[in-house]
Amino acid sequence: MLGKLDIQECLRDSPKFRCILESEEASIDQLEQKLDKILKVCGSMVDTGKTYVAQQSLFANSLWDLSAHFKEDPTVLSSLNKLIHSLQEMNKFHTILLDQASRTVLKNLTSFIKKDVKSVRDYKNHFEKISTEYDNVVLRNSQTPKSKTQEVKEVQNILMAVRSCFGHETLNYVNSICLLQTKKRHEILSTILSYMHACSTYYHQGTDLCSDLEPFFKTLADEIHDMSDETYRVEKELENRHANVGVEDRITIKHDQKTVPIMEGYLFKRTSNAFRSWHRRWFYLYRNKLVYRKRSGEEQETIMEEDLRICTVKPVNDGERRFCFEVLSPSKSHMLQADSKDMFEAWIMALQQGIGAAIQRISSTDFGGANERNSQRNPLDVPRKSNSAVVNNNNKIKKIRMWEQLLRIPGNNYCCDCKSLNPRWSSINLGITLCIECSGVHRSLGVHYSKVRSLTLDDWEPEIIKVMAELGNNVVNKIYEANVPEDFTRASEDCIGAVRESWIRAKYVDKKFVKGLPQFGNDGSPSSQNNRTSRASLMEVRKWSVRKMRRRPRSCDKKKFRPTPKTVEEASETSESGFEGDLTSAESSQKSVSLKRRRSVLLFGNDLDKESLDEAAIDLSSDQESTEGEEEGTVAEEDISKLKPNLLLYKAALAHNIPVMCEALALGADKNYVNTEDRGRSTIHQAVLSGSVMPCAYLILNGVKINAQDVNGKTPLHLATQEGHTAQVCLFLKHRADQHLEDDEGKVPLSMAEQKEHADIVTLLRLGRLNEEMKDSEHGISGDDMFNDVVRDFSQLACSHPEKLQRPKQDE
Amino acid sequence: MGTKDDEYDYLFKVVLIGDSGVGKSNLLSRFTRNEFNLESKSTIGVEFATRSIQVDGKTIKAQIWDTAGQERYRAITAAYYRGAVGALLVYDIAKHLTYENVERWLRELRDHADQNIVIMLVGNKSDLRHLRAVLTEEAKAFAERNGLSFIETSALDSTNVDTAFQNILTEIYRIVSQKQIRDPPEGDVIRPQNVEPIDVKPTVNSDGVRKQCCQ
Repeated sequence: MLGKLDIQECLRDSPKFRCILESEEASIDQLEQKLDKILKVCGSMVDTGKTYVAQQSLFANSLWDLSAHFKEDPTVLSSLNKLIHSLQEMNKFHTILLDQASRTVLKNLTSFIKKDVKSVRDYKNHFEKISTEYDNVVLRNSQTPKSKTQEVKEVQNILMAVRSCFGHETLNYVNSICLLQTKKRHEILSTILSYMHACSTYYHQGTDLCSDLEPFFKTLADEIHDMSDETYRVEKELENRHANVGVEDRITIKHDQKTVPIMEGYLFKRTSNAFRSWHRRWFYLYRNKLVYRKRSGEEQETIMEEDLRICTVKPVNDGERRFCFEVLSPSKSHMLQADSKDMFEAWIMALQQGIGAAIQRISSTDFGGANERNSQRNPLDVPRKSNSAVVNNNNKIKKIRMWEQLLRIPGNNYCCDCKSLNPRWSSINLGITLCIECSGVHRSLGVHYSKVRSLTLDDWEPEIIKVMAELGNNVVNKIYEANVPEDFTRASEDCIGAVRESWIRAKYVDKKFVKGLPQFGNDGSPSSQNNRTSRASLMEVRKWSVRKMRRRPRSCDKKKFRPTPKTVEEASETSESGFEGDLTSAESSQKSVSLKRRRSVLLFGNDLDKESLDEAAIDLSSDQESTEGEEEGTVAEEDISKLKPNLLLYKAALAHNIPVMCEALALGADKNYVNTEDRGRSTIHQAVLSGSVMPCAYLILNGVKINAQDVNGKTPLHLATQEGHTAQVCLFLKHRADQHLEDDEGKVPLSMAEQKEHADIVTLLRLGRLNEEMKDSEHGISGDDMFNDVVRDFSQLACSHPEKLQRPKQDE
Repeated sequence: MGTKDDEYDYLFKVVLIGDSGVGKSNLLSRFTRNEFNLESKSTIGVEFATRSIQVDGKTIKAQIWDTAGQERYRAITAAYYRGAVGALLVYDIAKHLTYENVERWLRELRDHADQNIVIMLVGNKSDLRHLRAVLTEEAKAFAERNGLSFIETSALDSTNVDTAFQNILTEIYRIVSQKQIRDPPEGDVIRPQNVEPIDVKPTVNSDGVRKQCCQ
């Protein structure tokens, strides 16, 4: 409109011009407002879009999370991944679109407003300014009086200048308006168009992507269809299962290839405490064991019976509850209850079969002596390997390890008497392993000669294991077979019974092959029947002693310093460092005797540990807590004239040297020997003073008098209490030592322990008394039971965590 | 050592626990021998005493284990709680610290004792009224929160001592007799579920009694 206006009209600044100008200005204002609104809306559109894109990307992420759920299901996983990928691709396109929107609409329109509209405004300002100026000048011109010609002239000049200026500004302004009005047409349209182009690109990208995906969508739809069919099928199938629900209990006895029944299911078990409550537990038979666990809460299984071979099962009909049966082992009895008669019968049958199978399996494979005679491999490799998977079961491992370890003691993998492979029996007082035939002969000798136990079936007290670990077939045969005549018929694997019996009798009862003590000078040694090596050198011997024994340190110590034979020699040298010069031991005699020529001391038990420590595989600790930290060394020397079996046993007990004790007993030492020169103490007193449980246990195994009193009236229990040897007190009480015997001062062990404030020993002694009291009463068993349990706890503790029993000592 | 009545229907093991000096030993001596000793020494290890009481015409023999409160006189803990069906957790109403330590003792019970063990919180020395440091209501509320029974006693003037033991033994009896389903009435409660293994030696040791062999 303004463009069409005559330029003269403008220059004249006519009312018409002004009117048009006003309307033009109003239109520009309107335009600006509208554009502002567009900008605002578009900005918020972009922002909302961005939020949407962000949410969609979160959505995709959450889908990724979901896909982790299907990581076991490759079909679903791959489809899902592809879908998520497409979704993310689409999201990317959307991001681009939003980006374009802000690039086109926002950028273009903003710059239109900022530049073009603003320049119109600028021109308007100039125009208005000059218009006012022009008005002023016109006014001034009109007011100038004629008289002032100079002034009139001046004003006229100004008027002309301002008018010209006004004309230019007016044109500028009008031009800018016209320009804007023409420009807005294409600016706005092109902006919208470019946005539409962006949209078009966006949809194109989408279409391309989707057409690419089309085949995938198709296959996926098919797959989904198959899956839903599958669901339908499964649903049908599951519905049919309801038919399986019966009134009867479900009994499942499967048999594995070895015909071992695999029975499992819920049973009620009665707790063994006073509450006698019944709990429902999931029971199963597994590797010759009866095991149970809770339905939920704990993963760990509990072993009810370690070894089915020593169990029996019997129905219990006299109780109030129905379907009860009892699983009995030598040490325990468990009351169990099935849900129904069928289950009850099935369980009893399964248990009986399990027991049978376990016995059979052990005898045929695990400890197969007969059918594996020719194989040289360690028979215990089998159970060990097969059990390695079940490491969680400490007890089981412990038992297996115990067998394994006992057979690893030098010589123990052959029967001590007939050399047949893989002995399964032992004589615990002799410290040897035996085959079943020889164990039969040993039994017939009577327990004062040999106490036979099964390596595989019996429970083993820790202190007996310690004694076993100290001895072993090699050590014992060095003593009992030291001197076998060439012509004597030894027992062999498959000899006839009479040969076996006469060999064993000669060996242990008559002790025919034991070498006597070395003879010295004029004092006629008791049992020497043969010449010993290097007799001449022995003539110089004046003293003898026994080496303190620490053959197999506790396994934790051993890790710190595993002594090689060499360091042992060094150690023994330093322990005798009081002696100057080199200690040339005599030609190592077969009798565990070595000779220190320079000092003329005959040392018993010196060469023993060299041999045994070579056996690095042995992990069985034989040492006792109370000797920990003890210096290696010897006990006080004795004059050679006193070298007799009795005193040798006496001294060896003090040195807790079981092999030398064994030798002394073989030489005919009296286990109850009383040393009149040493306060009338007997060997068992010396064993107590050694600080170790082993010599005490060894003597008890060999039938020593447990209540022997010395001249001061002190029993071994007195001494052990006095010395604070908790494990020994425990051992003596376990073997029913009499704690009511008073010493010369009228003290019983309990009062001594109270005086010494030794809490553990006080507890044990009082518990022993309580036990006696309870036994007196009619229902003695309960007290007895508790006593046995606590004593067992203590002796286990003494072996596994001896340091815990040391505490009270430190307090003193 | 308690009444020597050999006939009983039930035998319950009850342990006395709590801080040193709260009067556990005197509670025991008051209940079993009606004795009180103001200058009793610290208990070393465990002391035992028994006494029988009558509940519902049944004779219940309580075998009470009085344990050392002082850490250095305590023996191996597991033995204390083995087979225990009741526990008297004692504190001294005049020493707040002994009450604060009740939680510690409770934790020890939860760790070592049978989960069904009946626990009674006992505030002893109720005769020391002028020195009271633990309010009866506070202790009662604590006991309720923890599912314990509660009583205040004085071993010195005998207040509530018999009642405390009577109550806990009755409570145990109720639980045990409810659960006891198949045992004939004269059956002892702590029957041998865990019989010591007997190694049968074929030649000797045929006397068949429960005796350790291999001696």
